[in-house]
Amino acid sequence: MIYRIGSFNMYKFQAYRSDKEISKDLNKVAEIIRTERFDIIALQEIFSKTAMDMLLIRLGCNWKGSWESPRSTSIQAAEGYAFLWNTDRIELAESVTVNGKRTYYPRIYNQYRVDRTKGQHTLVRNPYYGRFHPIHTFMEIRLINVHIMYSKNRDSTSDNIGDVRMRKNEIDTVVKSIYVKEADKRYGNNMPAYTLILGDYNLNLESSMASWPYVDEIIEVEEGQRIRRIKTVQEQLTTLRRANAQKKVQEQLTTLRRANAQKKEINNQEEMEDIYSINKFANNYDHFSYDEQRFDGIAILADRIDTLNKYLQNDVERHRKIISDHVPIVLNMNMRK
Amino acid sequence: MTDKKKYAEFFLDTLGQIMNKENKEYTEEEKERAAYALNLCTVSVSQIVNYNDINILEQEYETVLNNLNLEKMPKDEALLNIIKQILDTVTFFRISEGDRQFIDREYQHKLQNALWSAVPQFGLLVAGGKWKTMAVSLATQVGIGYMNYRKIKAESAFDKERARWRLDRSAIEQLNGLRRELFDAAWRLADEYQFPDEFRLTETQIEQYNRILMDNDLVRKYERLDSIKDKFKQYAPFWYQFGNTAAKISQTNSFMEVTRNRYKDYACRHYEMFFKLNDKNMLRIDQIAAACALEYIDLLNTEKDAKKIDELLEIAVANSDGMMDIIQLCAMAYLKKGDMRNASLVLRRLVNEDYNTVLNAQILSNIYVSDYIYKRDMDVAYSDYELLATRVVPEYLYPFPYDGIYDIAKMESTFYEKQQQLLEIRYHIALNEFIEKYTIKYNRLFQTPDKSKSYPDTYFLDNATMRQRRINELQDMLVNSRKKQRFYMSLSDDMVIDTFFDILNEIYEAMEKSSLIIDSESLELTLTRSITLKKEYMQSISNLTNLSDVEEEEVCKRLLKVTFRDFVHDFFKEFDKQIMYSVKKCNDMGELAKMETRLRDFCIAQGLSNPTKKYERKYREKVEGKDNKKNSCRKIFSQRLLGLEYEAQEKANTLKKCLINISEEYKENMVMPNEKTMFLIAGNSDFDNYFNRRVRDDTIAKKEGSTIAVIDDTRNVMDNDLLITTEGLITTSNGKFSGFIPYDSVRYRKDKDSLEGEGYDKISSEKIIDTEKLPPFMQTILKNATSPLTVITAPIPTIALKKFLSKTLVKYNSKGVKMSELYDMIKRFMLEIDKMQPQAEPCHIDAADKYSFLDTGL
Repeated sequence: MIYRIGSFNMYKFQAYRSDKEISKDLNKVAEIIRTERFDIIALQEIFSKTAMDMLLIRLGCNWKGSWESPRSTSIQAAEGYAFLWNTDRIELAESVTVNGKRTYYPRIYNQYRVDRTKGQHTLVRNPYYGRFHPIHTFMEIRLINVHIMYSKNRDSTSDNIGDVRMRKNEIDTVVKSIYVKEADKRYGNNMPAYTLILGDYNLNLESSMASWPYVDEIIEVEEGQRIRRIKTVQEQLTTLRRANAQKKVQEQLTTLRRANAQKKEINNQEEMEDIYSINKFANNYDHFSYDEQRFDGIAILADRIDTLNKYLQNDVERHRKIISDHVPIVLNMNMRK
Repeated sequence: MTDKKKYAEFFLDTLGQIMNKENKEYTEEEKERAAYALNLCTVSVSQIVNYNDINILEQEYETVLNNLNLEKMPKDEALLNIIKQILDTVTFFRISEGDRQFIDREYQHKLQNALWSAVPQFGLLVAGGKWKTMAVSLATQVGIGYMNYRKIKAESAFDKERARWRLDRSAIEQLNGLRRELFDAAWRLADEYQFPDEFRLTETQIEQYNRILMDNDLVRKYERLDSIKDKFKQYAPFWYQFGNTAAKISQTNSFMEVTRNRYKDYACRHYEMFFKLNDKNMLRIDQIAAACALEYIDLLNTEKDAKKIDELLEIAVANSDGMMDIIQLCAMAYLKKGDMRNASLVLRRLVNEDYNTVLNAQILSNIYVSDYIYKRDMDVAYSDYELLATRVVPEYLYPFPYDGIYDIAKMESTFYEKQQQLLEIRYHIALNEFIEKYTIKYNRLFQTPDKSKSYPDTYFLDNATMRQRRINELQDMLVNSRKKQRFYMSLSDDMVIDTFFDILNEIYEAMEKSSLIIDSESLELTLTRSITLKKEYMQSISNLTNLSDVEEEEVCKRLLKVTFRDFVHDFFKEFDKQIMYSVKKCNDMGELAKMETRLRDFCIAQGLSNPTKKYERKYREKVEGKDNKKNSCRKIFSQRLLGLEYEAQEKANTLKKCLINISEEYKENMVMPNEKTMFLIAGNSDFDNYFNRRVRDDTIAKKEGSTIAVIDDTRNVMDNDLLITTEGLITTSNGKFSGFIPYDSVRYRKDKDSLEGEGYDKISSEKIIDTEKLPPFMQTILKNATSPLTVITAPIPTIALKKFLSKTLVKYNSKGVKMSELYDMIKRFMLEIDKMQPQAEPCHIDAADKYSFLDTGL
């Protein structure tokens, strides 16, 4: 009983765009999704339903999808989200209401409380929320698809403190206002639910080889006597490095060598992989987050899919152009530990 | 899939009915059935959650959830949907086959022990007695598998498996959710069907009921059940559990007879109540009804209640459908009743299904012998016995009076002695495997030539082949000074000696836990003495780096010669002596069964194979004449290669192709440039020419089929060639056979840049040799090897012993052959040969049997 949940920032995925910068190879994207055997994949930066439909056609008749764009305070930030799922294994959740059964279609999550005294604010891009039912089980997987706003000015090179604080506050809001509320909610049945946040956080984990800014690996949420611990995972680098980032590369290589010098035993294989990673990848922005206690007893393994190496022979520029400037990530959920 | 399809069809059929359900009036029977169905499902799912055990999940799935009679179920879409979801969910979390078999075997063993405890005199039937006079109440004492597992769980047995069998958290959560869905459905259906509230069991009531069922104290359990019985008036399984508890109390010998009779009476009444309520046929196969019937039979008098027993047996048999535990208890019931005909039929079925095979075959053989002696269908009895002897090892069976002499006492004692002997052999088989396990550990510690390489366990066996291989590799390794230093340093590590003592302590601990030791002091002394005798040797092993060259050479020789057996031989002999003493002390089958249990527990704890199965396998091999396999792991080198069996031939062809491919890789490097010597590989024209033109000896000619390559020195005078075959090296002189070296013994001599090996030379002497005195593997060579040996041995071997097994030097370096390359190629050949011949179990048995010091009689 293993489910593979994916997240993939598609980088300006528009229906008919084909220019020097971007010209998506949807056949390749479909091949990746199929080959990597995702059961559900959450997409970010997908600009229209048409774009999603074009991808779905290539995936095959056993795939369905749902797309929506958040109402955003910034027009430029209104890039859409999508969920794609394999209908052989997954279906949308249903709720029992007084009027009968109702299918729950994914929606942009617009209604939630914010506590401004704690620095929370409404997200620039509200997340996309979906409830999924793995077939032949009595449980739900609930996904909160996020794309945390990079900066107020959409300056993608910004490490401005204000922008970093904004990103951290957004994550905080998602966890404390949305996740906690949805994780425990009952929708007219007794199905246990497993809730995940996933997507592009624009923040790194400290345990990755990326530098600041960082997301806290554990975010604690106080609920009366109880403290809920929301853990963020996936420490591999997932954004492609730009051509003019050699200085950053050197910094990271130096950090790596220092770290290795302190180790008693160095695994050569791992070291080679780390060096490869640093040379090709820049940041560790894509993650999953979940309630540690809720997922106790379930085997979780998060990792990136190195599509750069596996499908594009390490051609960074080509990957950026025809696939994305991110690589997808996957979470394996094994219900039998 | 069949179940799911069934559900789907059923849904479609009932849709129409559901559409017309408005304002429907339900009969009393329909109401009761609806309530009963709900209760069955909710109790079943609750038990899975409360017990939190994968075996209970499996049992509830088989007994109830996947066994519902859909036609009798209420036609409610929501309810059926929930049941479908339950089945889907449970399917994901079901027990693995290995665990299921473990539970099954435990149960069979328990049954066997219980029977032997109750039947001390096995020959009773043959002696004219009757089984019905014996107090065999297996149905109550042990029960069907379903009940037995709950009983031992309540007794906190299987403690260490508890964690392993705990359900996954996700399973518990999903099933909990489904249970609540069921309760919701129950509310709704209660409203719709308008059945009285007392028909419906609440969550609290079910929880309480489940808790009571887990109570280990029988009397308290009974009284607790008594206090809630009014709530379960409509729930049949409750009355079975109630009756079962009363029945167990009635068979507790520590109570006075008046108490026992009272509870016996209660039990009968409760069982009757069960049958009264259990008329709704909600289950397709009702295991609980079968269990109830069998336990009820245990309480009845075989003479006075014969008719009732017949009725109950009919119920049990009707609900047995492939459930071996129920069928086994039915067999016991037939025996008690004196119905030998039906008992034989059922027992034969159990033997054929390999269920408690030995026990059931023994009982069956008893029946056949009795029939024969008392002249009831003598011919049939004889032929049935003969057929039975093909199903199990005949030695397990009650002896048949083929000689026509009916000395019952002698037959009884012969049977009993044989069972003792067989148990002794099984003990030896288990101990041999146990010793082998630690031999491998010891050898891995001291005789691993290259720690960075990975060696299979079989490499560390102490048979001649593997020892020689290790010796060769170690000697090769010691020639390289850097590798030698590394090897010495690994032995000098303190951990090595510690690990050695850990091994010994582990062995001793295993024996202590087995409860087989009678005199621990004696065992400890024996082992301590053996270690003390080798104290200096052990000290020198850990001090190799500090020894002089001469001392070091001496220690190395001993390292390669000293075996694990040298340390533990006396110790295991002493242990064996104590076990055999215990076995011989057993007075009846019940006590033998207890010794069998201890052996079984020992094997399970140590991860050893089942000695009974092993014995049976070896027995069959011996009977079928396959004991030429005994001494050789290289089964490919047999007459079957000559084409007698296609499969073996195919294997040989595959091997040959593989070896030819390897040879091709060495083609360019085998012979130095500008040398006249040629390296001919099979399949090439040069190779064919060689055999057509240069070979003058039939012996050699016959080897063409198994020759991979030839090193032809192309001389006409002093012509010495080397044939590289699938078995070993053949040296020739002037086109005639001159010697054979099997690959096993080939080594590379760096100092002489040549190969060395132990093989045999051409016959020259006239002495006649008694082949029986030759070591077994040489006898095998005589018997099985293809020519040239067959030529030599036919018609009568005329062999000089000293020339038979000699060290031969194979020097072709002067002819420009790179001997190191040749040796490298041979090593690769050996790896391929090993791969083709899996050296798993057969080698273990062979090694254990041949090189162990405990006789298995095989």
